[in-house]
Amino acid sequence: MSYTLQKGTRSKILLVYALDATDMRSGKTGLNSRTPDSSAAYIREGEAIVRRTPLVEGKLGEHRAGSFVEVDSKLLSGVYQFGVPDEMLAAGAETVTLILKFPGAVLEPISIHLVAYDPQDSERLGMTALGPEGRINALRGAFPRLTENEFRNAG
Amino acid sequence: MPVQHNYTIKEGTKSKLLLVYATSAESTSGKTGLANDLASGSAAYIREGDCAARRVPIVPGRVGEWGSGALAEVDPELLPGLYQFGAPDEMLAAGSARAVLLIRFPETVIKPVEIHLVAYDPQDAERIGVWSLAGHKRHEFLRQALPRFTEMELAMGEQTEKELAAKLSAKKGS
Repeated sequence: MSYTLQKGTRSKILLVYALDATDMRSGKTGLNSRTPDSSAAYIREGEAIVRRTPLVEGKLGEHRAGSFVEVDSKLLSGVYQFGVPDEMLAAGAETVTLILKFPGAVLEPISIHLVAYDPQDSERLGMTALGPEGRINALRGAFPRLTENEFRNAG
Repeated sequence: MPVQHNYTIKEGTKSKLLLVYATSAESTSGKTGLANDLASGSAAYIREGDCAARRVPIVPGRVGEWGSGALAEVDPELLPGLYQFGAPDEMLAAGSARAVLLIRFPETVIKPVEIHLVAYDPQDAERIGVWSLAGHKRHEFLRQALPRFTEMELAMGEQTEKELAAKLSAKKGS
């Protein structure tokens, strides 16, 4: 499972799928944050420390760091919501891998590519050069004396 | 459960660390302990358009540190099956659009690492490495698009220069 997210994204919720280890076909239901021997941990590229994220209870549709919530055991059996800790997506690394472990279940590791642009920004992909400030700077940079004149006349 | 490893990286990136996931060939669980027997493993890559695969000698690595071909187990308890591999700089050099890396160990499944080598820079928040959005390129474009404005700008520059020269000569004279 792979995601591309902007660095510094906050309150991110991931939807993960747990397979039943006994048949490797059906979704594993009934997992929760109190399941014995369960764990969540991640490593960010370039860091030497593996960080454990305590699993906690949560609510569907709401973010809470480390929350692990079953979506709907009948309609979407095996689908869970996980609340990503903000520190996991902070600037400073380009990739991060998260592993959720539950006995009797198989969850694919989650690989996240942390990028500088914003894949969710339909206007300018989060590029500052295309924002109002970047465009104004480009114009003023091309005609510095006219800009100075403009300010002088405006004043 | 073997995991796909797909990366999009700017060509020419150096000292890149890859995180790869290894499973046991017989089960779905993460395979641990590969770093204890590096001699049994092999790594090689091909870049799109190349006529031969290149072998990468696997050497012992440390988590968080880059070395070409360096393999390190991340944490067999918390992240079982996860390894860090130091991508050789030559693999990511400009000149090819794609590279495929295979890391193999006996009785282990590691999916190929597919790397898309791109000209833009996913890590550049200003302009994702798009050259035409650089300040001086935009200035060049605007000056070409508005030639009379550019003439006015140049004329104002000349005027400013004259005024400055006059001031300097007046200072010298006094």
